[in-house]
Amino acid sequence: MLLRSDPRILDPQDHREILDNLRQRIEASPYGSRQSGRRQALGIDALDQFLPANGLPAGALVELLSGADGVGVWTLCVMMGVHACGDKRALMIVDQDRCFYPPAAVKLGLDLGRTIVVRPPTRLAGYTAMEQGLRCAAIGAVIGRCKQLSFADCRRLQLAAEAGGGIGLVLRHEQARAAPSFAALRLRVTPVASVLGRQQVRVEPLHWRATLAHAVVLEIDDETGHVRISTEVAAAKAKAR
Amino acid sequence: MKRVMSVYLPKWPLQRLKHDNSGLRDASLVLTDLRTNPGFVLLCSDRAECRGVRPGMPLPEALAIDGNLQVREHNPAADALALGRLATWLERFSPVVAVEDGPDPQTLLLDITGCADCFHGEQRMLQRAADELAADGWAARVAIAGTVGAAWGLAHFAKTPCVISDADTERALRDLPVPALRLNDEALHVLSQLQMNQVASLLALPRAEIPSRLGNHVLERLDQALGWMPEVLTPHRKVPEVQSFYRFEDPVERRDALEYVLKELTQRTEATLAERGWGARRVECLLYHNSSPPTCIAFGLSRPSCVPGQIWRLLRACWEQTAVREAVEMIRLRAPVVEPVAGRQAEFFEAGSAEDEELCGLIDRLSVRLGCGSVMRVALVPDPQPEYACVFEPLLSAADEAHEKQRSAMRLSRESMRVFVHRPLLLLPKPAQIDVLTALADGPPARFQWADSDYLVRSWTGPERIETGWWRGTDECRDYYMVTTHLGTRFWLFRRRDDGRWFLHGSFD
Repeated sequence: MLLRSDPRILDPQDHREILDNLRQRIEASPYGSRQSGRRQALGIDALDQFLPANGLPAGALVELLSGADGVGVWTLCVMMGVHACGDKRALMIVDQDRCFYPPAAVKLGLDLGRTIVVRPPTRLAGYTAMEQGLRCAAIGAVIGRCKQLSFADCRRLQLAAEAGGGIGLVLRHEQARAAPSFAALRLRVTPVASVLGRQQVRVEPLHWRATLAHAVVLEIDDETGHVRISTEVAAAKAKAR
Repeated sequence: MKRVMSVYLPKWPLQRLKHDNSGLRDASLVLTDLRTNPGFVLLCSDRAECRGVRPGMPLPEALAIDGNLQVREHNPAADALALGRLATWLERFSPVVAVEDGPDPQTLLLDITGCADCFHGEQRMLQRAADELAADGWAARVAIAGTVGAAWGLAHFAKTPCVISDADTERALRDLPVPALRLNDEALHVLSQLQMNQVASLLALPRAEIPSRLGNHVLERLDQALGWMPEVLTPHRKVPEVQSFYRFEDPVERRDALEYVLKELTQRTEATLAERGWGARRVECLLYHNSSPPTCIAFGLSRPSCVPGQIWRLLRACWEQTAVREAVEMIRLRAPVVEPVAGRQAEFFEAGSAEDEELCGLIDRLSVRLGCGSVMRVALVPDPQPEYACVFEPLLSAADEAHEKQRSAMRLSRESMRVFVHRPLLLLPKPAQIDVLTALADGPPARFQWADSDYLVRSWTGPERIETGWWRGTDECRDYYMVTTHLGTRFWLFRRRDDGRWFLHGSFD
C-alpha cells in the first residue's frame, strides 16, 4: 500500500529509479546494511554506469574472476584501487606470488609513496594481511589474489571492509565462480581477441545485489593505461544499427 | 623549520693542548702519532707552519728547521673527552649538541631550531657564541644554516661567522669547494680527476646520473646539504635507557602469570616514555631462565609513538607466537631505540593526522605478525634491466636514513619513467624458459608454450633491445617482445641473444 501511495515509484517507465528508491529505504532502515551511505565509484566509467548511484557502498568487496594469465585483470584492479584511495589514503597490495611489478603501475596513477606491498610467507598470512589492511581506515583499497578463499575467510574480509570503509579487490580464479561469496560485486573478466591488436577484456557482472547488467567489452590503452569501452565493439554496434 | 649551528674548531688537538697547557699557547708545536706513523709530523701549529714545518714531514727534519719546536704525542681519547666537555658547555645555546661523525671530530653541531628567539635572533646568537668561545680561548668558526650539511660546509669553507637562510642555502653552497659536502676521500679523488672542484659543478650534473657516475654517497651528501634528505643529530650526552624488569621469587612457567607481568612491565615502560616525551622505535623483551639462554622477543615500530597500549598490543602478538622452553626467573623489558615523539625528523607517509597514525599502527601490526621482511615499500631505481628497476624495502627495518635514501632514489626524471610504459604489471621473479616457434631465425615469436598451454601469437610489438648488466658480472643482452595471443592475452617474452633461448618474463595482466 505504501508503494501505491507514492506516484513517483509507480511510474512503470523508470525501473532504475524504483530500485534506487527502494535501496535508499532499505539502507535507511535499522535492519539494513551496516555500511555507511557513502558510495565509492570504481573509477572505470564503463562499469560505474551500471552500478546504482554510480558506485558501490563504501566498505565493500569486489571479486574479479579470471581464468588465464595476461588478461588485464590486475590492471583493472590497480585502476580501481588507485581511484578508491584518492589523494589521502594508501593502497595495499598483497602479493603472495611475488610477481607484482610496481614500475608498470605508475602509468595507472599509482603513487608509490602511498603504497604498501605485503609479500606474505603463507596463504593464510596473506588473508590476515588483507583483513588487517581492510580494517584500517587509512587504507583506501586492498588488492590481493585469493586462491582458496573459504566461506568464513570471505565473510571476515567483507566485515573488515565494512569496518574500515575501504574497498577490497579480490582476484580469484574463474573456477571459484560457483563458490559462495560475500562480495558486493563479482565481475568475470575474460580476454577478447582484438582485430587491431589492442588489449581488450570482457567484463561480465556475475552478481550485484540489485541489478544484473550486461557484459561490457573494455579496451586498455597501452600507453596511458586508460580503460574505455572498446572502440571496435562500439563501431560494430553502430554499423549494425 | 630546522636550523643548525656549526662550530668548527680547526686543528682541535692542538687547540686542546694549548688550552690545557698555558705554556704552549705561543709555542711552535707539532703532534706526532706514535702508534700509526711515528717519526712524522701529524699536525703543526700556525707558528710552526710559518717556519716551514709541514704535516707529513719527518720529525728530525722539522726539528732541524725549527729548533724551538715542541713535540707532543697525539691523544685522540683526550681530544674526544675535551670536545665532549665543550659540547656540554655549548648546551647553553641549545639542548641538542652533537659531535660530528668521524675518527677525529673537530666540529660541534647544535640544533638551534626555536632557540634563536631567546638570543634576540640568529645573528646575535651567532655573535654571542663566537664571542664567548673566543673569550674562553677557543679559535672557532661558526655558521648557521637550515641543514647540518650546509652549516658544516659554511663553517669550514665560507667567511665566518655567517647566517644563511633556507632560501639562500643552494646559492651559498654553490661557491664552496666540494669538500664542503663532507665527501669521503674516494669521492673527492674522483671529483678532482674530473676537475669538478666546486659544488656548482655537481649541481649542474643531471641528478639521475650522479649515483651511477659518482656513487650514492655523493648524492646523499648533496641532498643532505640542500635539505632534500633530513639528517638526524645524535646528542652527545647519553640518556639513561628506558627499561624495567621483574624478578620472580621462584621460576615461573605458567603463561598467564608471565603475560600478567609482561603487561605490567609494558605499562611501566610506556609511562616512562610518556614522561620523557619519547616513543619507542624498538622494543626488546628478555626472559631469563636458569640454565638455557634467555628467550628474546624483539620488534620494531614504524614511528615513535606514545599511544597507551600500543607496545602491549604488539608485544602480545609476538608473545602468542613465542614458545617458552624453561621456567622464567626474570623478565626485562627495554626500549633500546627511542625518539622524541614531537620532534620526529622523518615520516613514512606525509598524510599526517590520525590516518597517518592508523597506517603506522597497521605497519607495526603486520610487521610483527608476518615479519619485517614481508611489509614493504617500493622504490624505483634507474636501472635498464627490468628486474632491477625497483627495490622492495622493509618498512620497519629501513631506518629513517635508508628511507630517505630510497625517497631520493624515487625522484627519477620524467624521461626515466617513460620506459616503464611498456612494462607488464606482473613480472616473474625469474624469467621462465619457454619453447617458441618463429617464422624466421632471429624473428618474432609465432607460437609458444607456457604453463601447459599452447599460444598462437596474433600480434607483437618489438623488439626492444636491452643490453646491460656487465658490471654485475653477467652481460645481459635481450630482445623483448610484447605479444598478443589468439585468446587476447598479453605476455612479455624475450630472446637471449647470446644463445637464442626464449624466456617468458611477465604478463600484461
